[in-house]
Amino acid sequence: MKRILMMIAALAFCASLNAQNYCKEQKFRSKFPWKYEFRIGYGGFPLLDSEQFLNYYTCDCELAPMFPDLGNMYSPKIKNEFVTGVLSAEFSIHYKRWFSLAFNLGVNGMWRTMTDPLDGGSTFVKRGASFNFMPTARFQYVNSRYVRMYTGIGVGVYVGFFDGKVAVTPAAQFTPLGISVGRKFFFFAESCVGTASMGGNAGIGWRF
Amino acid sequence: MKKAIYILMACMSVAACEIYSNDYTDVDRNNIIYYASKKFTDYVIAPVEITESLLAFDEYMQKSVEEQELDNRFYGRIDMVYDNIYSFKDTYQYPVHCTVDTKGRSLHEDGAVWTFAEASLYGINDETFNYFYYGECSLPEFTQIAKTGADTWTISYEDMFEIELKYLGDDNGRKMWEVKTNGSQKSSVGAMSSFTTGNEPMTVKEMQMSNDGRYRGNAYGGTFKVETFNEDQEILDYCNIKFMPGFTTKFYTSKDL
Repeated sequence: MKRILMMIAALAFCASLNAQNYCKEQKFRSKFPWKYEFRIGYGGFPLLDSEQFLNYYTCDCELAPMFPDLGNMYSPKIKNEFVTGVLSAEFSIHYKRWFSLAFNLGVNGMWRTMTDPLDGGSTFVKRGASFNFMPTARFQYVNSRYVRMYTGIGVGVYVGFFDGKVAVTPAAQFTPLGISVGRKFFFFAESCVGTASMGGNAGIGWRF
Repeated sequence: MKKAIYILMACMSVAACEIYSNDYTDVDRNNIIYYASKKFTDYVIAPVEITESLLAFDEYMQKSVEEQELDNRFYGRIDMVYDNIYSFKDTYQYPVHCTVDTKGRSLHEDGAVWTFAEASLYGINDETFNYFYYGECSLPEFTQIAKTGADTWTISYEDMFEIELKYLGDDNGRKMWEVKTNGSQKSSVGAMSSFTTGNEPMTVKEMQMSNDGRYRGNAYGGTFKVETFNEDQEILDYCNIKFMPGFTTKFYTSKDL
């Protein structure tokens, strides 16, 4: 008898907790009526950085000091260039089951090592970073309990600085295929084409 | 928070990828040879060709009108730009283009000084010189040529260079010159160079290099030395070009193994 009473008390306690949560949820939804999502991701090749500041598209032969000129021979030379890859944070609002609007902020670090022939080949480093702010429309065409598949398109702005130069340009990004797996916490992976990053992007997220 | 940022930066650095790498960061043997060859062409070969052309032009100007009409080297190729300023294209050897202020004097007169508005030599290739420079050479505007002695002329420009050319005469119909050069060059990146023929002058002789019957100046003997410095006057590189009659041109550089 005692055991049954304890079970009833436990059930009542759980029910009251659920009711409390439900109330909280109701209260939250009254202020924020949609579903929300927060993501962090990493990946992709920063296309615009390569074009604006780096030498990815320049062949070695153009930089070789072939011409018989002191300036060419003894000016500081680029040895190599690195990018960190794009780290992005995103907040999105699910207005509909099939549509959400995401606000994506991506950052990429880049640095260049150079040698100075006039100073015995000593090396020095130049650093920079770029930021992409990209409102993105995302269309979910599979929206099951655990798996979502989507495609997205974003237009925004790019701000980059490197070696004393600053660039501000429009930016655009297209996600042909993206997939997320999980419920409250989820993993996602997506392909991407655009000025912010090329290739793929993956990360984790939280829905609330 | 600070720790998290450092960890994040470390992770991103590890994940970072190299997107560009340049293998040509150092001055190599070919660079210094190429540079020295260019200086040699600028300050030995081109002055000989240009001086030879100027002297022929000067002789042409002393001729009577009837004699000038028979001269197919210069007739119809000279423009008078202004009083005593002439522009001509001479294609006798390499194409030489000159615009020069003669001040009404002959270059064979003692103390005569001519000033260049333009003096260029075109169409240089390694067929003749056995080194690597291709292209053209130009003397700076306001370079002067002066008669400084018997069969001797000096080309100079401010304190940048001085080239003494002495005509030695014909060797089986081929003109021979003795050339002494001293000069220096500065660059915007802080590197400097000096070039010289040293104590011994170089000998330059016309050589018939092709079947078209034309003669072209070529170094016949001597050494041309080029050194490059930084702003602290520390030697960065050097190249000595050694010419020996009948032998292959030798290059001795700071980058030799």
